[in-house]
Amino acid sequence: MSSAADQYRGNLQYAVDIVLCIDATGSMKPVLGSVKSSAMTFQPRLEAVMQEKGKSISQLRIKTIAFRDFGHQEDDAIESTDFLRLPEQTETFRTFLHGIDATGGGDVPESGLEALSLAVSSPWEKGLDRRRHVIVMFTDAPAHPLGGPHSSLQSYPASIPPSSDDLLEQWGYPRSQEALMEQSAKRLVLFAPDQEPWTGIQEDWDMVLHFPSKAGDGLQEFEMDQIIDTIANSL
Amino acid sequence: MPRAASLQIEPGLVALSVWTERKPRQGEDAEPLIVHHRPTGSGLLAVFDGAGGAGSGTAWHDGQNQIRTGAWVGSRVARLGVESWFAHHIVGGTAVDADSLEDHLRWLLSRMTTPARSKVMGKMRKQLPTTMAALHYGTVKGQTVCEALWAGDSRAYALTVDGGLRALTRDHTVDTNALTQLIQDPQMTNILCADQAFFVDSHQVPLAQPCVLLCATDGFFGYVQTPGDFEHVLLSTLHRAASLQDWSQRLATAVESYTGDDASLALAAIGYGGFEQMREQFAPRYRQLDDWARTMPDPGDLEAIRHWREAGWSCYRIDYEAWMPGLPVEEQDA
Repeated sequence: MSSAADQYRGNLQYAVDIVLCIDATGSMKPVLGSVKSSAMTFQPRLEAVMQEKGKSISQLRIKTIAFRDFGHQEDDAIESTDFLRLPEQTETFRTFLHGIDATGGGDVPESGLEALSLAVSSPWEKGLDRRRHVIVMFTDAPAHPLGGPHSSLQSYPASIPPSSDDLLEQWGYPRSQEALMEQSAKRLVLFAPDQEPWTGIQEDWDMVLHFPSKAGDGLQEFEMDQIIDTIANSL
Repeated sequence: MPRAASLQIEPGLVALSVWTERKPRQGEDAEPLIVHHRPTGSGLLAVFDGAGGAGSGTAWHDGQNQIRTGAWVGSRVARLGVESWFAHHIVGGTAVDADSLEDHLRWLLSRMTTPARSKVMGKMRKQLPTTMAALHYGTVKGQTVCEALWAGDSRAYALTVDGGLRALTRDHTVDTNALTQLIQDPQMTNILCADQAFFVDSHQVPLAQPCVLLCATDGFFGYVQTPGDFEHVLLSTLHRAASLQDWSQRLATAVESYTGDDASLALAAIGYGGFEQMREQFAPRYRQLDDWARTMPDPGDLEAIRHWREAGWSCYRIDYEAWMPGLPVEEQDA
């Protein structure tokens, strides 16, 4: 066996893009606090869990989308970052998270589907080997259906599809033609209540893991270790 | 079972197995299965890879403070199921077939489900998920006939001097191009499990003797750069081995040096006059593969590596896919 072959074998690494969709309404203070306090250690903790499973990461990028409710207050309904490369941009990641104030939202439902749609249309990594495109949704509330009255608001993103069926087309399925997500790379991890639309997504979409949470309880039952372990297992 | 074992079954038939764990006592591959029935001259090779992602939840405490995952239990239950199914057919004198294996595995796995409901929902999560690749062989009028039976992304192969390593199975994954599978590690579309639908695929091939038959989990073939590298591992270790047992030990050492996973392999060599004869017959094929491996560019030059493996694969895949089952109809249409 050549020495070059020896060196190259076992070097297949994963290029991981993660989009965190975080419900930033008032009831989500507990989990948001946990995510904030874990920001600086997120990358080494994920790498350690991956290492434990015999997998290593060639590139880790993370994008955060904080959402509230277009129906309650449209100007702060969505806040987001671009993809940030970790560990190089950990400080930017931390600063963004600490700037999110868990407030507002009014009554349920919230604008979780809009955040999910923006996540689906993210500029995912296309070049590296063993790509993994993971969306993680944190919410304790049901979501407004797409195409409702809020979609005519001035600040409502034009890229969001008009219905859940269209969003499913963007998510894709085997041999679908209009998917924005790569079939072999995509994963969706839901920390969300067993309510619509999350229950329907878990039943109808592929590559979904759903951890049902207690509605209105701020995902207090989930520890950050469990969240990171779940992300690593989904890869 | 030791990590490497070999056995002279009868004149002209030898077998070996390799089983390595990434973490001691926690390997989610079951021990490889090799069964041979002397009166009928038929036998079975099989490997099982418990799926750690889909089956990472706890399924069983073994009484010695050891927690066993669903993946760990699934691969062992499937191994038990395949062995008992084969014995049943041998005792009854009936022909083996994929449908009866599927029914038997479904029956057995469904009885092993745990009553505790998982906190996780979604089709990605499965109870007792495991792959299976099995090869049933028999000799009829001097010709070896074999049938691959599989679910998931473990594989069965035939290795011959003329054709090299030829896949007898097509993975149940989103993409079935073997190079793309290496590069993207796609999700499986079918796998044995206790709580969801699955199927056992089958593919029959007539084989001229002599030949080497083997089944392997992706710990062997999923952590190399091109599909041809796995054949290079098989033949480079054979080339250096002094005996069958030495070959199995070298395979174990080699796979542990590059894999990131548990790895298992079951192999039978049929129709060779002895180990030395087999090694000599494969020597030209090994030199040809080794010449190609030495053309590998600097591993740090990703673009050059990409081009090298694509060019190598376009040549290699012609023989590699020659005995592979056809694409499912829907993939041909796509």
